[in-house]
This record gives sequence, C-alpha cells and structure tokens, in this order.
Amino acid sequence: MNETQIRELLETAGQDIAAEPIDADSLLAASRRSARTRRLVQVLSVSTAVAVIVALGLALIPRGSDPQKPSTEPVTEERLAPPGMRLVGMNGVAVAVPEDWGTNQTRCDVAVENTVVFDKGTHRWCRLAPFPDVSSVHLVKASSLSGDYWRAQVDHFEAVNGMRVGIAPVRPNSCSTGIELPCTGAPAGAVVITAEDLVIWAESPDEPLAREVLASVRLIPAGYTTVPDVVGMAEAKARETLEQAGLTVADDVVCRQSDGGPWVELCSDVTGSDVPQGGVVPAGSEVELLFSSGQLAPGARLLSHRRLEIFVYGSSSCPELADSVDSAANNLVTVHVSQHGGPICTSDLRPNRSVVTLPANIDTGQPISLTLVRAYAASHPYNAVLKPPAPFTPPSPEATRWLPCTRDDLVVFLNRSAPATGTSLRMAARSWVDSRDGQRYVLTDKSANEAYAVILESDGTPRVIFKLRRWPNGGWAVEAFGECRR
Amino acid sequence: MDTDGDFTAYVAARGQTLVRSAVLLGWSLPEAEDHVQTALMRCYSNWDKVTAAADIDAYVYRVLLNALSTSRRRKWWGERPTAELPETSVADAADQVAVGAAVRAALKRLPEQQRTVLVLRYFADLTDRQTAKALGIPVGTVKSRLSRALTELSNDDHLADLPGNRSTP
Repeated sequence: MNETQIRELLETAGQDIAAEPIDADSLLAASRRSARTRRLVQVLSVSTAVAVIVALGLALIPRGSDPQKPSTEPVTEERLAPPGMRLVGMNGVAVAVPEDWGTNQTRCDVAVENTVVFDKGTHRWCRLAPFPDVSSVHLVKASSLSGDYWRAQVDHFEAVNGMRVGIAPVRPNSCSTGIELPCTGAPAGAVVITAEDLVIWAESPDEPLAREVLASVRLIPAGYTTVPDVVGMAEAKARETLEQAGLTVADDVVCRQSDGGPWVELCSDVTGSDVPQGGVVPAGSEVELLFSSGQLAPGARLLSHRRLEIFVYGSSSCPELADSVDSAANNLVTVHVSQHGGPICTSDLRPNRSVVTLPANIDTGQPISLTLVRAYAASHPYNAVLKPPAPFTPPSPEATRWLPCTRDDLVVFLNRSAPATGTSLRMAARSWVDSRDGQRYVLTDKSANEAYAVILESDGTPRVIFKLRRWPNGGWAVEAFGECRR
Repeated sequence: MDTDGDFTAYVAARGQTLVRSAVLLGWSLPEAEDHVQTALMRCYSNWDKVTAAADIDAYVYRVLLNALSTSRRRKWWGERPTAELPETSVADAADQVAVGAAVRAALKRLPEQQRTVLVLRYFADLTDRQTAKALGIPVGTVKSRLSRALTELSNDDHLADLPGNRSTP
C-alpha cells in the first residue's frame, strides 16, 4: 500500500463520519468564558502563592533583622485591589472588600452574611434582628435615609485618592438611630462623596476591617466600569442596561429553546449576571445573564384548530388557569392567567395546563408573539415567540420504529440548579438514567450545547426520551424528559 | 491581531477535520466532538502562543492529543453512547460505507502510536515535521512509524477485500 492509496482510504473513511461543522460563534463564547475563568484562577493562585511565600518569609526573618530593610518582593503589575480583596463600586467610586464577601446577601435589608449591599430602598414593614457577627458595606445614595444619617455624622473632609471625602469615623454603633439602620453595636463608619451622590458605610465587629474598607475608597480607574443591577429585569431590559454600562452581553441564554420543537419555554426574569452587581471590570468585558430556573418558567405551544396550550407551575389545588385572551396587531397575543380555588393551597409547584382558542385575527401560519400575564405578578409578564409548526413530513420506513419518540414528547421540565463544572454529557446522562433503573440509552442527536437521548427497553424499543443541555459553566445536565408514545 | 476572528476562522476551517481525525483515532463521534471543543477552548486561552508557534495545526493537534490522552487516562470508557440510532448504524453495503467501516476497523487494529502518526500525516495532512512537533518526537521516528503502519495495512486482509481492491499494492 502506498501513500496515495492510504490517503484515499482515510479520506473516504473521514467523509463517512457524520461530523457537523462546529458552531464557531458558540465555541468562541464558551472559550471566552473559559479563558476568563482560567485567568481568574491563575490570579488567585499567584496571589495565594505570593501570600504563602511572604508569610513564610516573615516567619523566617530573624528577630534581630532590620525592619527598615527594603522588601525584595518584585513589583508586579498594578493591582486594582489589595490581595484577597476585590473592588465594588457605584456612581464611579469603588471600595475594596474581601473577595469572599457576597453581594446583597440580605433579608429585609439586613445583612445575613458578610456582604456588599446596594441601596434597594427600605422595607419598612420587614425587619430582622441584626446579626452581630456579620460585616457589611453599604453603597447608598447620599439622599437616601441612611445617607442622610451618615452625612450628619461627618467629622471632617479630607482628600482621599484624589477625591474630597467626608469622613464619619468608625465608632461603636450607638444604636440611637432608630430602625432605619442596623443597630448591632458593631463598629460602623462611613465616607461621604457628595460630588457623586454616594455614601459608603461599613459595619463590622472587626473594627480594623471596617477602617481598611473605608480607607480604600477611590475613583474607578479609566477603562473600567461597574456592573449595574439587572435582577428582576426582563431579558431585553437587562441587556440594554448592561450595554449602557459599557459591557458586552454573552449571547447564550439558558432558558431559550432553540431546537425548533413545538414547546417554547417562556423566558423568565433575570436573576443576575455572572459578575455580580457592583463588580469593577474592564469596559467592554463580556457578562452573562443568569435566569431563574427553567422549570418555573411557563411554557406554551400551538395545537391544532387554532388552540394554544399554556402551562404554568403552581399549586395543584389552586391552579393558575387562563382567564382571557387578547390580541393586537402584528400577531400579538396576550393571555391572562389567575389563581382559582382556595383558600388553602398546596405549594407543590405542579404544571397547570390551560387550552385557549386564539382570536380570529391571529395568523397561526406566522410567528406569534405571546405575552403571558400572571395576575399576581402582572408587572413581570413572560414573553415568547411561537413559530408555526413545521409541515408534516412522512417518515421513511427505516424511521418508523423511532417515530413514537420525538422531541414533542419532552413534556416534563426539570427544576435544577447549575450542574457541577466538569459534568460531562455522559456523566449527566448515565447518572440520570441510573436514577431510572439504569436502562440502556443511546444519544440520538448532539450539538455544541444540546443533546437528545433515548432510553431503550431490552428489545430496543424506545421508552423515554430526554434532553440534556450544556450550562454556561460547561457542565451538562438533563433538562427535560418524556415517556415515548406507544 | 484579531484573536477572535482568527480563532473563529480556524474553527470554521478545521473543526470538522479535527473531529474526524479524533474519530479515526478511535473515539466515538460525541466523544470526539467533546474533546475537540475542549482542545479548541484550551487553544483559545493561549491563542497568542498558538499563532506565535507558526505551526498552528501542529500546536492544535498536540493540544487535542493531550486532551484525548488525559481523557483516556481519567475515564473508563466502558460505555459508549452512539451518535446514531442502532438501525441507522446497520448500514447498507454501499461501497463508501464499507470502505469507511473497514478502514476504521483496520486503524483500530494498528498500535496506537502508528495509528496516530498515520491519521495526522495522511488524513490531517500535517507534514512529517508538523506531525513530529504535534507528537513531540523526532521526524525520523515519524517516518519509521509511518513505514511500519503502511506495511501493517498492506497485510490487512480486510482492506485487501474492499470493493475495487483499493489496497492492492
């Protein structure tokens, strides 16, 4: 056999492999995220290593050594925050907080864990007893209630990192300020930046930490921006808000189906971004929107004879059912649902199904823009575009056996949080199949971010179809399943 | 340098070949797709090094081979989900399908080192030098492994029986 012959044979064998072109854009987005995570891990590793080396070095310095001796630690690139800290900001000003602090970890505006708190307004009818061991930093408008309080506590003004800052020194909290401020007795203080309409106040049982945080106040460096609040917004609004802040929004949207199947999951509200509110990042950075768990998002699909099927998750004893259907120009349909039954309702989160007839002016041959309004949350409607069903194509004889199990059978959407990073497609599928008696399964279709598989009976008859999705963290998880029709 | 543009163009141009190469190296299609994507993502994070290497294909294949070998060490691939339904995998006796299946079977019978060199050199179209770089071995070793692989394949009865008697020396 010569080179030409083996080339020919390999070429033929290669053509026989049904490899689809790789979606370069999706891969690019995933690669960007992966690279970002990698860089972060590297920075953390280096920081940790430097900290360990410095600590070891300090421990090894002889007691008699000269404390004035200049450090031999190499000067590295400029850091935005001291090691172990990260910058959080608002209105162009930032402070450094410990990296492990969360963001808005509050209940009733009271910090329940060490956290950064952004001004969300005051819940006057909801107060918790303060948590004395918790540290927090609050970024609030100077004109807010707590801003007013701290402006009155300003002792003097001084220039800090190029800004004129009003200093309210850290002192034990006197608990004399009424219910508008936490009253834990823990030391608290503030810096007031009137020019930016901003007050930053810190409270911590660790008084030096509160001082350190407040002393780190600085303008956000040129070329950087802060991540704005997008929690609770609809997708379009959240994108607009992030883009206005100079950020790029990743195209991946976990809750949106793209397989062309008839079920359309109505995109639920944004629960945040992968970089939390207040994070200081280079302008133009890519930020990913996070949505609420898909299962709780309602779904819809077109049925025959101009009927529309809606399901929403809720109480099975007090189901939310469709009350009315409105239509408007451009094939817009609005369905209103409200809760029925009661007064006592189970909280079992079962899918409640309604079927409505579409108004006469709606063209079911064209995409329909659907808005679902739930009575209890009318200000947060769900939106989706329903595509007309694809024309029926008679199956080939070879496919007949598999026809009863199609993507239309995916009717149960699973409620789950993100899978562990590194959960491979096979691990996710095997684990799920094992939980269902460990049957044999085959993957029937796979793209970069989605896959379908079928559990087979011992004679090869398909029993259950399930769908897997690759989450933004790269891990795979089963998203939906359904029994195959017989 | 437009990293994203270069990367996207490279993926569009070479992605399918990488996947097919991984399949010819003995992986199922879904596994191959997974590993190729993993390798490409790794390359993206070091794209400046990839392009600086002047031999992008050799670099990418090296990363891919590392990913494959890491994966083989880490996991037991006792279960191999198939990309096709069982019915569709029972192919008709069309010439091309028969040739493809026979070649893949013949490749599986080769020692892994020979198979890798063969696929990189004659399917991925790397030069001897690029193949050597990708595998981290001398060019002479590439040539000797190729020679042995070609001899093995010439003696493979299954290939000799192919329609059209393609493997006749």
